[in-house]
Amino acid sequence: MVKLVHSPYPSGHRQSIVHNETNIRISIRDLNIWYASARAVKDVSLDIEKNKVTAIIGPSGCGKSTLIRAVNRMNDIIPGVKVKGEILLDGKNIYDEDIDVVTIRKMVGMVFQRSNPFPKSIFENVAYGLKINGFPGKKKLAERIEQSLKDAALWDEVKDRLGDSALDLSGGQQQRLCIARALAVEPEVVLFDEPCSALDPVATARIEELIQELKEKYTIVIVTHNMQQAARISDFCTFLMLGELIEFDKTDKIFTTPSKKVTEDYITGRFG
Amino acid sequence: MERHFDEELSGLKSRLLKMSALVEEVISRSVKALVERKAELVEEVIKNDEVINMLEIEIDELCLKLLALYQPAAVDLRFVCSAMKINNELERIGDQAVNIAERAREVIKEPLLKPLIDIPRMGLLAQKMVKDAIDALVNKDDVLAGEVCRRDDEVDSLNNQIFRELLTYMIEDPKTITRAVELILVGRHLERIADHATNISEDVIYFLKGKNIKHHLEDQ
Repeated sequence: MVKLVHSPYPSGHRQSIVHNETNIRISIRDLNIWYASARAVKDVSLDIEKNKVTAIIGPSGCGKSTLIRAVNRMNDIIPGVKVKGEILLDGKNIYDEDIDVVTIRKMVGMVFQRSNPFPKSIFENVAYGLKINGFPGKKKLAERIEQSLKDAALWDEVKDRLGDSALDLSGGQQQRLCIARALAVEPEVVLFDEPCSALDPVATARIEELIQELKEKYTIVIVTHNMQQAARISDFCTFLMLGELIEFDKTDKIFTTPSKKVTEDYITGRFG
Repeated sequence: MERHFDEELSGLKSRLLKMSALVEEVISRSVKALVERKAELVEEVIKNDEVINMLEIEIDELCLKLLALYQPAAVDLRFVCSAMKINNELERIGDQAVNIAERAREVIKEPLLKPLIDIPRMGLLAQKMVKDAIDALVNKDDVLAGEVCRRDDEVDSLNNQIFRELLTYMIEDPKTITRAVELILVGRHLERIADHATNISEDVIYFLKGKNIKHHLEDQ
């Protein structure tokens, strides 16, 4: 049953939206992130539904990447970053002290703007995360790698040359390899930080198709500069500006009848 | 930021304005042909309708081009889509004016059945509705658009009045039936024009507010 969910929190940046409450995988609550003294994310609260694609859009420097990186604590490795607020993954705050960051990153995979395969074979790239986690059995490992490459729609192109260097693949293939690598450890959530910005339109279309298929199994969050891409592939869309969440709604609502003037100005290209 | 797309949009707007001006003109002339019994106006209406038809195609092509090349979103998308629908409504209003002109051609061959009072009133009302609906579009005036929708009732009741009155003529003297039916049809065509103007106003409100008020959706 779908009902209107009002956040129980009183602060001003709250968005109420039609969400199926039981389907929420990630709840971001009053999130603030600073780089030294600069506040990059301001009081953001946002619910992310499972098995849906949630897109984050906004002009450069609005905090999109900072926000998405916070979801698997990638910001921890940047010196001077301070995080306040909560990110609940299935109800558990990933910033709690007793949380193991490695476990979080296993549950929340990430694919970056530039494909970044390791200078190893195709097989080893996908096997890497499994091996360091002590994945048992050679046969099972091979099966898992095949499945991950299939899920990433790369298997048919590489099945006969798994021993070749990953760096010999095309840009689009490298990106799908990185997706396979992220999927191999069976995450619940996959974060995409502008996954297509370095790809040509054909490779982009493949990744977009892939994301649509992946949401059957995973919860997807994607940062994109390409508004048409957000419109095409996402179910929900978040518009950020200067670190603030301006509007969050169903994607078709955002792209036909946004509630806020700034959102409208941004998606119609009047600024940004 | 001034966008190249804005130039294209204002081009689309001015074509819609031109089309609307032509359509208002044919409504007025078709009613005038009937009331003032001028056969030459009938031919003028039919000729002008061809111009309207060509303009409809031009506007349709422009809208498709804007959708394909710019992939507009939000208010821009609503404007282009509304423009396509309004374009279609205007063209059909033109067709109704031709229908009226064709009725006029028949009516003026016969002696006057009765002095025409309600039909010219209806004509003026319908024409004003079209004009105001397009003005609402151009001036982004949703209040005016809402008012146009409400005026439709006035035109409907005039149409009913015309029908009832002509019915009494036909009952009294069956020889008046042909002429009375022609006039009833004129009333019907004018009533349809007002309906199209209402549709335009509804499209204008969707463009401006993102709210669909068609078929009394809001009341439900």
